[in-house]
Amino acid sequence: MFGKLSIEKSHKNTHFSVEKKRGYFVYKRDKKTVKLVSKSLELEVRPLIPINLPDRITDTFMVRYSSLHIGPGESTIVFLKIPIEIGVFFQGESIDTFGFSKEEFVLYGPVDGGLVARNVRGEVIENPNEKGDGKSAIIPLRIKNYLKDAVKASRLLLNTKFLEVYYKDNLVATEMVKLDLHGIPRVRYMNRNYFKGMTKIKAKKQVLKKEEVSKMEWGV
Amino acid sequence: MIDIAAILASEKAITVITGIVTFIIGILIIKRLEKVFERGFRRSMPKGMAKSVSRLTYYGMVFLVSLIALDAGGFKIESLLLAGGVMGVAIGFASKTTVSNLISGLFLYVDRPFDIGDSVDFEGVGGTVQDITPLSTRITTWDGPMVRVPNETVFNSNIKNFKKVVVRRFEYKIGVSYDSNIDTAMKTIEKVLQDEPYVLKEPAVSVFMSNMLDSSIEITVKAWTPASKNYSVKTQILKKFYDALTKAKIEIPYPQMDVHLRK
Repeated sequence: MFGKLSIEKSHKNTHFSVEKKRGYFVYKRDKKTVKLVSKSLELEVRPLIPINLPDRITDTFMVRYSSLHIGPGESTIVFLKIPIEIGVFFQGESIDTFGFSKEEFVLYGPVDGGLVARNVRGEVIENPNEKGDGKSAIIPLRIKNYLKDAVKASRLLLNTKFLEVYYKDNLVATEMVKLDLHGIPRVRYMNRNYFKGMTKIKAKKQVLKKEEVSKMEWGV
Repeated sequence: MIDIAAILASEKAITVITGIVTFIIGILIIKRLEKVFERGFRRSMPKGMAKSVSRLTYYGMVFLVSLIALDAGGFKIESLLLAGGVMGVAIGFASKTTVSNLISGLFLYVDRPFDIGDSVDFEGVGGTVQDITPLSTRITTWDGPMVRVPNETVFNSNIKNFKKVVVRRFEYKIGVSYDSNIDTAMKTIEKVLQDEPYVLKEPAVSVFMSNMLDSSIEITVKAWTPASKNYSVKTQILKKFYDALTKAKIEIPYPQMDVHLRK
C-alpha cells in the first residue's frame, strides 16, 4: 500500500485509480482529477499525521483517548490508534491528500497564550495488529507517573515537527513517545521505533535537544 | 613699508578658508557616519523609523558642524544663536503637531503594541502595518489603499492587534419566529457549527436564547476560530445558518405588528 508505485498503464486500489491516456496519466479519486505528464509514472504514497486537511494551520495535534488513571509511581506502555491521512506525491510534490477522520480543531490552553491543535480521536488498544489497516497509525506511548497522587490522563499533545513516522505494508506507527507526569507533564520523543522492520518516512524532522521536551502545561 | 591692510586682509582670508575647510571636512565625516548610524538604528528599530532617526541625527550634526565652521571662519555665532533661539520658538509653535507625532512615535516604539506585518485596527482604520516612521504609521487597508495615520492618532487610539492572538471569537444574533420550535432552531444552528472544521471544539460554542423581541425570538451564537480563519468562517457561516434554518422550516420573520381594532 505505502511506498513507491510504478505505473505503466493503469492502477487501481481502494482509494484511487490511475489510467494512461495519450501522452499523460490521469489520477482520479472521488471528484478529484489530476493530469500527470510523464512517459512512465512513479507515485509515492505516504501515510501522514492528520494535520494537513482542510489546510495545514498548525503543527500540533491533540490525541484524545478514553481516560487512564495512573497510580503514583506507576508506569505502563499503551498503544494509541489514530486515524491517518494519506498523501500521494509525484516527483516529490503532493498531488492529493485525503483522510479518514473528522477535521476539527481545539484550543489547548487559555485564549491568550494557548495554541491551536488539530483534534484527533484516538483509541487505546492492548495489542496492536501488526498487519495494520492502512487507515490508522499506532502511537506507542509510555506513561510514567512521578507524582505522589494518581493522575487521570486522557489527552496527548504532539508536535509533528519532532515526530518520526514509520510504515511497513499497511502498518503505520510513530516513534515511541514518553509522557512523564511531573507537576508540568512532559512529552519526550524517544527516536525509537517499537515495531521491527519498518521504513522511516524521509521527511525533514526537527530534533529536540536532549534537555528540551514538549510541555503539556495545561494538563493531560 | 608694511602693508597692514594687506596683512589683515590675508589673515581674514585664512580664517575664512579655515572655516570653509572645517565645514567640508565635517560634512565628509558626517556623510560617512550617517550610514553607520542607520545600520546601528536598523538593528533595534523598524526600517522606516531607523532611516528617519538617522536622517534627523544627520541634520543635527550638519547644524553643529555649520556652527563650528562659522566660528572657525571668524563669524560671531552668539548673535546667530540668539536669532536662532527666537526663530526656534516660532518654529516650535508652528510645528506643535509634528513634535507631538514625533513624541508619540517614540512612545509607540517603546510600547511596541504592533510590529511591521501585523494586522491591526485603530478605531476603524484596519489593515496590515507596512512601516512605522517617527511621524506616522503606514497601513495597507483591507481593501487595498495605503493609509498614513499620524502617530499621535495611533497612540491615542484603542489598538486591536490581530497578529498577537491565536484564536478569535465571532458572534451572531439570529431572530426566529415565535411560531417556530426554538429547540429545533438552536439544534440546527449547533449542527452547522459542528460541521464547520474551523469552528473550535474547545472553547465550546455557545448557542442560547438571548431575547424575546417584538417580532422574533433572538438566538445568540458565539464561537471561536483560529485567528487566521476567523474572517473566512465569519463571512461564510451566516449563509449556512440561513440555508439550514430554511431547510428545517424555521421561519426568520420580518418586523411585524398585530393591530387589534375595538368596536
